[in-house]
Amino acid sequence: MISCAIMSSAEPFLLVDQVRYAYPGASRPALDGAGFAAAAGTIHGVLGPNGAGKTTLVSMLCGLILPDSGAIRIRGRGLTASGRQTRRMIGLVPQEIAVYEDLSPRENLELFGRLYGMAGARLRRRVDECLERAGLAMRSADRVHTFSGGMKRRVNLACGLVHRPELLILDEPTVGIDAQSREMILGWLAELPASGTTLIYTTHYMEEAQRLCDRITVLDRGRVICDGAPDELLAAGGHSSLGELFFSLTGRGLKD
Amino acid sequence: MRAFAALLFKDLVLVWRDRAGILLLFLMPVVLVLVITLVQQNVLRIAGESGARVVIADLDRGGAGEEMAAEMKQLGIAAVMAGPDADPGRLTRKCRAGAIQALVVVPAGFGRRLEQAAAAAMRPDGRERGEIRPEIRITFDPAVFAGLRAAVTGAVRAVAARIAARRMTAEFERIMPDRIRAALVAAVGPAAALARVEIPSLSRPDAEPVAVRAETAGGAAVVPTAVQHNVPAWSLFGIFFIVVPLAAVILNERRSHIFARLLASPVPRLTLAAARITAYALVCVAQFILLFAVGAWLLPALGTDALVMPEDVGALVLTLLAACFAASGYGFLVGVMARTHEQAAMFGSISVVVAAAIGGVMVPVYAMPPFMRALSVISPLSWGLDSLLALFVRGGGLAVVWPDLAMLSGFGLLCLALSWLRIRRGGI
Repeated sequence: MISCAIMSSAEPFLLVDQVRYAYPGASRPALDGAGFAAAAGTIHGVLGPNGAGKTTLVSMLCGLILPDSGAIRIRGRGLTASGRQTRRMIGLVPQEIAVYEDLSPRENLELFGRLYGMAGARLRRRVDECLERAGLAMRSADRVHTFSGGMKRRVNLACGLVHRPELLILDEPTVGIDAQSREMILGWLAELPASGTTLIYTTHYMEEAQRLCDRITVLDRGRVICDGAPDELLAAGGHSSLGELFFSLTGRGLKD
Repeated sequence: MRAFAALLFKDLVLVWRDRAGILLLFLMPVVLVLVITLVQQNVLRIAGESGARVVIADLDRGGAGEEMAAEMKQLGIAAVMAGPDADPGRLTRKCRAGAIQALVVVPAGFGRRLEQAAAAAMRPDGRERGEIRPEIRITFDPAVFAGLRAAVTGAVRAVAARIAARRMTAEFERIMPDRIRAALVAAVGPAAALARVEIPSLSRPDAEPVAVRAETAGGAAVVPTAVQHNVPAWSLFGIFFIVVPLAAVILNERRSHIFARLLASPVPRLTLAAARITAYALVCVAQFILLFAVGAWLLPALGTDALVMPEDVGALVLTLLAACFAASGYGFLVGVMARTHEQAAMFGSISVVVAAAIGGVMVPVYAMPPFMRALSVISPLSWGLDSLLALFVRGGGLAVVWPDLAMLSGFGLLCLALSWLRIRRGGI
């Protein structure tokens, strides 16, 4: 494993500590002792080929599944299935368009805001902010099913951000959208660390990871095979791009 | 509470905006109740004003035909008299074609033969009794089921026997004084011919020696008409049909990962489930109110009886809630188990139709073969229907229906528990 950066001795904002998880009946574990740390206010990329364990890791970070062994700690607090306080800190942006298409963006944002305890004028202001930032203010009352793919992706992202999470988990948030929407989304994400939000960002787009991420973890077959800052990883391996590094680590053969 | 209200409101908005779902949840049960009640109205009223056309062709024209029609009406078979120039051949052809379901032919000379038969019966040696036995012929439409055949045949037999008995007792009353007087003269002498012999009249219509009185066990005043059976039964079916849209919603949420987003939120999972069940329970209540309005007002306007509400409304509300809970639990289970919309729709709808069939919604359980009757106890719709029939036609209350409510609630809990285990196993 290549590891270039040294985390400070104080516990990081997010600590994934040697987690292992096997789906019932699976021949091998989806995560097999994976571990990494993310500092507060950074963007941490998680890369890996299909079947590497990225989606399992995302599910685990959200508390949807609990590790068979190992632990996940956020601000030093263990993540459990019933840990409501910890869950309040987390925002999730799944790979799919995880919004109600028969509701408007405003209705979706208000719903998810209320689920995180927001209400009244504070909620309305925040919903307006998110709609404005996502470029959807003019279409805030239209139903999502009338939107283009890019607009739906922006609603998807806004729903994960409406409650101002401290930890935002994004599972390939730019899949299948136009260049303009991608730029808008990447620009928005890049602003978030400044307000203290930590991002866990899974993607297959190496150029996005290279552009956005302060630190990268590469998973393969449930294990961490590389962890560090992109520039340091490239320099250490003598690679010219993250894509080249990725292929050198995971191979060019099909993984599924 | 805020999250619960937000989730409840969201689900109600989604149901409202799903026009196809609204049609499925509201129009489908209304159409089923209307069509099946109107279709079954006459089948279940086999002893009432049945739509089956029973015609009496009185070729005798001696009054026996009218007597028969009047007596059959008393027995609950509404028969019409064919015109005086009725052609039995033409009526038989109409019967074969299905225009008449039963043709009762009173042959020419029937009355005369009846009187001859009565006179022969009074002879001590019974001579000629068999030779002159009058006959009534019944011809059935080939498509008529055994139930109607048995009802018409039984009524004609009973009426014919009554008419014959009346003729015999009249003959008995006529000849008996002369016979007794002749016997007295033979035994005592000619002076006995002046004796006055009186025998009680036995031929009055009210002189039947056995009175038959039909009553309902427990003294329930409500007769289980098509309305009284179908409105509760198909309402229950409608409630359970929420399984289909509910499973579709859950499957949509799973596939789009909204489900993951909801589970990742700080809202307790019990609140997530409770909000959804409450939303669909409200839909069921609206559905039930609509169907009861159909039973109380629309069906009577179309010529059926009106639905009579049970006395124990509290028990009815609890039954509805228990049925909603059971249906919601099952909808959850189908929604978390199904991999595709096709699976959810097919499995959800077919399983509900099968449960309705074996539960007695379509055909009463008592009319099923023994094996199916035994099988019906596993159907949640059977528990619900037992409870509703206990309230609607048996005059029961909560003390009677609570075991069924417990079964429905237990079934709902079991389904939710299995759903929960499925979610915990991951891969949702």
